[in-house]
Amino acid sequence: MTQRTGIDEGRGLRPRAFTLELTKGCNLRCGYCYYADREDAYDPRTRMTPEVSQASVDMLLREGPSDEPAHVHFFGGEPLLSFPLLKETVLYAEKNAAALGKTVTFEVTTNGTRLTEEVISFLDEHSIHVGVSFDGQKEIQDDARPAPKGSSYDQAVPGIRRLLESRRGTPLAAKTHCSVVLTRRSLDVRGIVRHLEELGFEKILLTPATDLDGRTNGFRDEDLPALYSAFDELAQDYEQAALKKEPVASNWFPMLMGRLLSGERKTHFCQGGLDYLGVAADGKVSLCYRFYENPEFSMGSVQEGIDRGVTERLLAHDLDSRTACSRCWARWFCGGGCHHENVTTGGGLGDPNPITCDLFRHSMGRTLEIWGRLSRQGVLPRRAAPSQEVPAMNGSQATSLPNGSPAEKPRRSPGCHVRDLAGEKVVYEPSSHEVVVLNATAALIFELCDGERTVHDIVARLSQEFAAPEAVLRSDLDATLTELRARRLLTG
Amino acid sequence: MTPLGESDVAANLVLTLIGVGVRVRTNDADLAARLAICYGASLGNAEEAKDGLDAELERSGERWRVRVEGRAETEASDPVAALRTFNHELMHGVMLGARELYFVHAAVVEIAGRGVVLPGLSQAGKSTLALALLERGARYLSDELLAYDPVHERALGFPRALKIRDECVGYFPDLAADFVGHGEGRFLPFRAHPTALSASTRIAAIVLPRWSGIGCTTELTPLSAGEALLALASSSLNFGAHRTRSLDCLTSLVRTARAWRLLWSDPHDSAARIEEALRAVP
Repeated sequence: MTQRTGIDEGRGLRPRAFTLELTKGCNLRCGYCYYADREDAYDPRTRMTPEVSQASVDMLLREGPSDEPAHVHFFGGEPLLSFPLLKETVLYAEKNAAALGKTVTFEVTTNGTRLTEEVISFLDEHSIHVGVSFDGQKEIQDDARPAPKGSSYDQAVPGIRRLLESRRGTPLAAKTHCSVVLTRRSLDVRGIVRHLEELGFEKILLTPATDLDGRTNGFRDEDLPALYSAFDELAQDYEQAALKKEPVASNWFPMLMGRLLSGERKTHFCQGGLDYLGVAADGKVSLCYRFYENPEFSMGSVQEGIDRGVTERLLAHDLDSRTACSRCWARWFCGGGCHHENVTTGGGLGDPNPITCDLFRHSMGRTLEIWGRLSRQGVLPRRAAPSQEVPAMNGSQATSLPNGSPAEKPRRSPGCHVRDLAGEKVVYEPSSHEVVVLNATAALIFELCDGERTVHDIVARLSQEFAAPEAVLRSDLDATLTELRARRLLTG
Repeated sequence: MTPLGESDVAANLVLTLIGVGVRVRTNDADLAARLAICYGASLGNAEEAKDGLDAELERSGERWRVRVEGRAETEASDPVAALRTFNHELMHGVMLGARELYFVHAAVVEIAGRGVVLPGLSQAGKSTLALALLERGARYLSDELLAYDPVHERALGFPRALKIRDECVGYFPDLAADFVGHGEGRFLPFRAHPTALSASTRIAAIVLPRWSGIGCTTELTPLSAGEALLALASSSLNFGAHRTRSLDCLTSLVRTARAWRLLWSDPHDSAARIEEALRAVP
């Protein structure tokens, strides 16, 4: 029996990823921004210095797990307002990682208004994952994310198009997503998704806004019926696509289906406070970037070291000991809700927002129904098994790490026993007693994970076998590697 | 707990099950008759059973006590439960006595010299399909246990009387008078229905049954070797005891056998379909 937890002993407690607050400055004033209440919010003078960003990188490389890439996530404010520091940090991290024989991956979250030619070519050259925060059609985007002057839609779209155009059909397409905040004023979720697909996004992450005293246009009880119907439309679209074995851009249902089929038991909503930490402009470390300047969730600093008190509190809030979660059937699919939302709406780490809970249970229920229908028709597996492909499963969670860099060298776990069948492979993992059958594609990938070949080499090898665009192969490879890792068939 | 005294014993049966000798004793005459029905095809000689297992079914008032080799001692409060517990414990005892074999929860029959394994959970239709195949001339190995000898690559017979659920009796009107028992399924005694037995067979096919509902169609879909292996692995009874050897057993088994998934509604139709599919197997 395998039971995975978010924290592997001795590994989860090492920092694997940092979110760096490059600047507090931002050129938009989004209605739901959790920054708004803060002192000196959006003050462009509060910037991270190179000393702090370098100390962050040093700490990650020094204290992170030795067998996994370090991950640096640039955030703000609007991090591209500090592009020179971003560039400097990337170069510094690459140089120092190489000297230590480690790999480092990067991600930036941007509102898209500063995606110039120069910026894009740097992001592309360094394989930087780009998450664009963008909410959809012009009227919706401009309403939700107002710019001080003019339209944020008009300011962002040219750069977004440039970015997507430069990455289309390349492995970088899999490292690009759109992150949408849904509000009670924009409930045509299907319309939003279609608009973003037309713009060229292949992966779309949805986050419903949290209601804070009525000022954020977050969802309230009375919105639930409309919210349910909006997500039911997405569910229909997902099921239709899955029947045709086509991917869908919105990752909401593919993500939930992935959780169902992986057999994963989510003990935490995200890795925040565990191995994914936030570093504020001054170098203070907190549970995540949403908790900067909240002393209750501060975790030391990159200058003086990480204080794990918050981690211990998180670990103490296991789902079965929480009032709301312990009674919820969906808790192991959910992980207990966003820590920040729990604290701001419920008052504590263990107090999820009931509206978020309702939407999650509704969605998980739909996912189970879809799984029931598709598995009866043989489109989805009856049980979690990588031997069968999961159609339209191309998404990951907004908070999850991208699947390693092209330079990463995955390696088969030495304890696995492998037997060849015609085309397929049977793998037995003795510590979990798990028997897994890999189909021909997964078997080939498993074979190629020899600890010598890089992810990039494996993609090249796959492209000799399969007539598919490299970006598709890369995304399939990522999904397979994730699955193999989840079943402990790969080390690292 | 003292064993039954010789003077109390109503019946003394000596069995040989997959090469393991068993001495069965009971003081309940009614259960002795049922045991004879159940194990009538496995009677052995006292010589073979000398070093074998001791199994007892003792009645005292309205309680029945099951003992197998002193290991399992379980109580039951009615004779039907007592017999079920006894069969269960005896099977486990025998499996422990034949550790070199590999066990899968499955029915096994032989059709024209080719072994057909039907693995699956309870109610998948193992026994009913096996009986439908027997009616068409197949030879019987077991409706419950695939005992696989990896050295000789053969399935061994475990010919306990075939037992089907009460609700499946209706599929076999010609045999209605022959079934014995009620409430917990019915046994088909060998003497009433002289089924041809097979002591061992080479496995040629694996059929994974699932009942699709009354009046539904029958579908026989090919399975890859890997899918067949997963099905056998999940019905395995002693995978953990053999570990990597289990893997080798199953791999060699699925390499040489063909496999199908069977969605079935009528057992006779399904049996004909299995026979037909098997004709194409070399």
